[in-house]
Amino acid sequence: MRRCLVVDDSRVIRKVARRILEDMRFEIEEAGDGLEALQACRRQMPEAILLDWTMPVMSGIDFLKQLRQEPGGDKPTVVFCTTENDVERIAEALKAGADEYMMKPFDGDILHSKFAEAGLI
Amino acid sequence: MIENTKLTALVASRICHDLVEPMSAIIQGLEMIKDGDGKLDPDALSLLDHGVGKAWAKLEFFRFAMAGAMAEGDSELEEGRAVAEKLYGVLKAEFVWSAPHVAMPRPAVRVIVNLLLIANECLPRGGKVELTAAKVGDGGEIVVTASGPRAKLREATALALRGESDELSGHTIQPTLTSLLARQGGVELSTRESEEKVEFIARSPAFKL
Repeated sequence: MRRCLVVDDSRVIRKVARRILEDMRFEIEEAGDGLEALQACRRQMPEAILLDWTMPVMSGIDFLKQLRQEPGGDKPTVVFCTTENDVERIAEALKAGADEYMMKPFDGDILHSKFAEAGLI
Repeated sequence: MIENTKLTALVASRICHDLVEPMSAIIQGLEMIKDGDGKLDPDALSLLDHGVGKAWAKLEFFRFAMAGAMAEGDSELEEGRAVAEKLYGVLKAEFVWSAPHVAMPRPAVRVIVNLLLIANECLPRGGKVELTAAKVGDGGEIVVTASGPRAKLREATALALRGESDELSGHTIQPTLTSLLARQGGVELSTRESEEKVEFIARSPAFKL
């Protein structure tokens, strides 16, 4: 079973994403900020990462830049989530190594199609 | 000088950002009920309950703290208590109101209510936010204290609260608005930081205890 790390400071968003992704047959690990996510990746690199942008302790973009420097950190497909249709922010995330981006809130259909576009299903 | 269009866009963006989580819970709760052929799944109800409660609390908070930003006149600190307690009812941190009645201009009440949300954002792992008031000279001082593990005030937030921020962003829009309201209400803002504690101090000769 493929693994997906869900990184978001909202417990509810993590729960929602977990439900949808488990239906898509992913094994889920959760992290509440970028630092926890980095520690999770150092233990075991996931195939996919669903990544929030604005988080305490370490933001999504700082995590992403750090991840891509880690051994094996080029492997996970990263889908980053934003609440803003901000072209500069999206460009910054893609430059930092995100593979896809997605607007929040999302439902099952949106997440499914985004993971399909990213080649994860 | 802040551009009005940018200010408006960022305020709208901040409200959207804060409504995303409760909307996600509502969307997922409804999906689960639909997938379950209308059966009442306790998890779905829990998501709906959380989503509706949080959306309602945030809506009332933003209406009070931002939409009513131009309201003038005399008021009391107590006017902000209900909206603050409702907000903290859906946040991780504990909230303690330890202030007596304090008369103040209405924009100043909004300054304090905004500080209460900013205080919560200093607590990534939860903790406690307490509001106290004391007489200082002819006026008064309101202190909002955020304490908890890893409590920290972002530099950008501190700069924005002092009205010294160069760049307006989603992170700094609320402290920037708070700073503008403070100027409008004749409130002097400052901050203090110590280990796992952040204090926001609002002083004004117009605060009457």
